[in-house]
Amino acid sequence: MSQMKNDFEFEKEVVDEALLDNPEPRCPVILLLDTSYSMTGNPINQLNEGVHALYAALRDDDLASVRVDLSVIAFGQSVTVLQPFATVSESQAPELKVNGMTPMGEAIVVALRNIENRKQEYRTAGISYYRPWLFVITDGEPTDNVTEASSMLQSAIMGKKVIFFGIGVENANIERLRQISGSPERVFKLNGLNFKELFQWVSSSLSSVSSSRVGDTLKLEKPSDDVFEFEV
Amino acid sequence: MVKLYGASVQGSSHIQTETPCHDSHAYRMLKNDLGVVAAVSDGMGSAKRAELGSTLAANYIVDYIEKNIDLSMDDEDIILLIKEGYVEVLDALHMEASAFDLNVKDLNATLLVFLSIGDRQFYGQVGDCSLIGKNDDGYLVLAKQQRGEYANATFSICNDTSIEQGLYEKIDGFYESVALMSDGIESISVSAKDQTVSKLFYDPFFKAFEHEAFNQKDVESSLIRFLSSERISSKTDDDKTLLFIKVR
Repeated sequence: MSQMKNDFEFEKEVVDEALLDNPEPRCPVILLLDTSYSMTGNPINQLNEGVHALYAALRDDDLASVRVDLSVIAFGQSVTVLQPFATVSESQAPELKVNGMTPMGEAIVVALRNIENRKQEYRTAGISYYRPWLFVITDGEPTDNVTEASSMLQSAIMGKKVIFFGIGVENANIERLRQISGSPERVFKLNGLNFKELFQWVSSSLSSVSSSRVGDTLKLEKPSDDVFEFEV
Repeated sequence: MVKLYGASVQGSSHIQTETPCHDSHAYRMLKNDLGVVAAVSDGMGSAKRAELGSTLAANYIVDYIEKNIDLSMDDEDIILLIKEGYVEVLDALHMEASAFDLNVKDLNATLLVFLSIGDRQFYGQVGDCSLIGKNDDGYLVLAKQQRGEYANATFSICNDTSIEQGLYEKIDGFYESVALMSDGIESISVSAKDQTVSKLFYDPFFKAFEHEAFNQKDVESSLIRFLSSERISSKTDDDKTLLFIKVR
């Protein structure tokens, strides 16, 4: 009997090298942040704190820390990729500084192109991925032409290529953001400058996504009041 | 004479949340020693009673095929029978759902079925379970997977469209040794990049069939210990199913 048991000890027979390390699936996320002059002072400080809190919260989640592939792009003086796509386990929250106007149109175009490029990189590397997320956070309205951006964004949202959220702060032109995205229900106003609460919500949403399956419908409390339901 | 052994073991994430194992497997030997029909089903994380759904799906389809299969059927008829089996599974799930006052989506699962009859082999696939076969050169992935663009967009049996677009095919060639598995095990034994199967992983399991003391119960106990081990849990937190079949 003991002889027979030894013959079927798979724990010993399957050596460590037999177990493959397939890459974790990734959830690409872009934060598109308004860093124009009007954000000077408390707003940019709060936004910086919020982004730091988001990195910290994602790092605390075992799955999200290796699956959420986060990029931060600022739009102000220019459209600048402050943090290219990386998991929070291998990157740091960038420091945001104010300057310039609000080239939101160009920023949206850059973000959507970067998402498509990233997906191509995943495919080449055999990495599976979740539907990308795009957050636009602004306290104003675009100062550039948004025709191309609006058409690209609306077709990406309609084609379920991206999960979009527009967040207006203080004097943001919410209506304009709703028009650009064509998704009024995905644009909401932040209570005061409560970026921390917002990014807690972002983090918990991304944690749910990184363990989700089967076109799950996520039900999440919006940072304002309502319950949000959307397919991931 | 068909030999087989298998196990479905709860993943570490489900142990933590006290969620039952969502994976199930089932098999039936065909009459007159003609072969075997086997299935693996992986209940969806979002389905409230996924364990009920996967158990019913795996058992129902092997029963259905075993009862209705006939050696005289041509390839096309067999493929049609397998697809009918999926439609019947969905009907059965609807009935089960109403009996338990549930929505059919609460029973949602993926389902892979493998059929070996005489010198022909077939599979049906709705979702992303895996089927591999052993040949002289090593191992090959035999069943295509039904997957969407996104990692969390899995196809499932509670959806008419998924069944309609499922994969129902005759396998090219004949494989004496095959294994069915859920995606938790696929993720640690088949390369996502190029579909290479880990020979080192599978060899010991198929070698067990050759052993003079082969005994399904004992080997299954060892498989359960292996699947429950810390080493495997550290690689995948998902539920884990493996079903090994030696057709001849």
